[in-house]
Amino acid sequence: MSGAVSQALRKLKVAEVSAKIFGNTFNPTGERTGNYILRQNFRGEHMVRYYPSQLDRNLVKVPRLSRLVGEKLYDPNEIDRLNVLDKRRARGKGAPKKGEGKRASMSKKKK
Amino acid sequence: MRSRVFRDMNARKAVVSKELERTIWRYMSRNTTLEPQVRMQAQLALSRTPREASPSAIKNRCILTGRGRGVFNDWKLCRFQFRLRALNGDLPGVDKASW
Repeated sequence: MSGAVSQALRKLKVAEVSAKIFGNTFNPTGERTGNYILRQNFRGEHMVRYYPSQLDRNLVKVPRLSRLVGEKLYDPNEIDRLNVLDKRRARGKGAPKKGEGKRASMSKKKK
Repeated sequence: MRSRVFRDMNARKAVVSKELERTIWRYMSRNTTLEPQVRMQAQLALSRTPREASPSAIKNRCILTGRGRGVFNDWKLCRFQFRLRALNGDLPGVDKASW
């Protein structure tokens, strides 16, 4: 019986030495060392790149692009908006000037 | 831009900045060869890091509309934007099924 035990011990020692020589891990009790966490790749850099960058987003918008270029570009939506504003102003529906709005005139009456 | 998307972008930045720290805490807390007290402290430190810094708190959203559900990860688009673009022919290799 004691012979079998000593043989098992010898086998363990051999395994330990061989692990040392070949650079393997020696963990006969199977303890959890958490090494699998260190083996995982960092994926944060990849996660950050999910959304297109702010610069790309702004370049898509024509007015801001024109600001970068320095001259006005053809923007049909902006032209439409200005046309609508002109029509409204012609009908007297435009935005009031500063100091002529509803709130401003009310405060004038109070005084 | 939707505020949810903005929040998600901030969370992704937080994940990057806290990644190394979280890895260390995680390693220490899972390592049973360390002393129980050390492991306990590592677990507490891990739970004290902001929730948004955890990679599982991140949601892949539609990059056009910010929709959180029904997003195809291969195109980063929600199902409706995907359909519109696919029918328009903007997505190479995507074809409407017909048999």
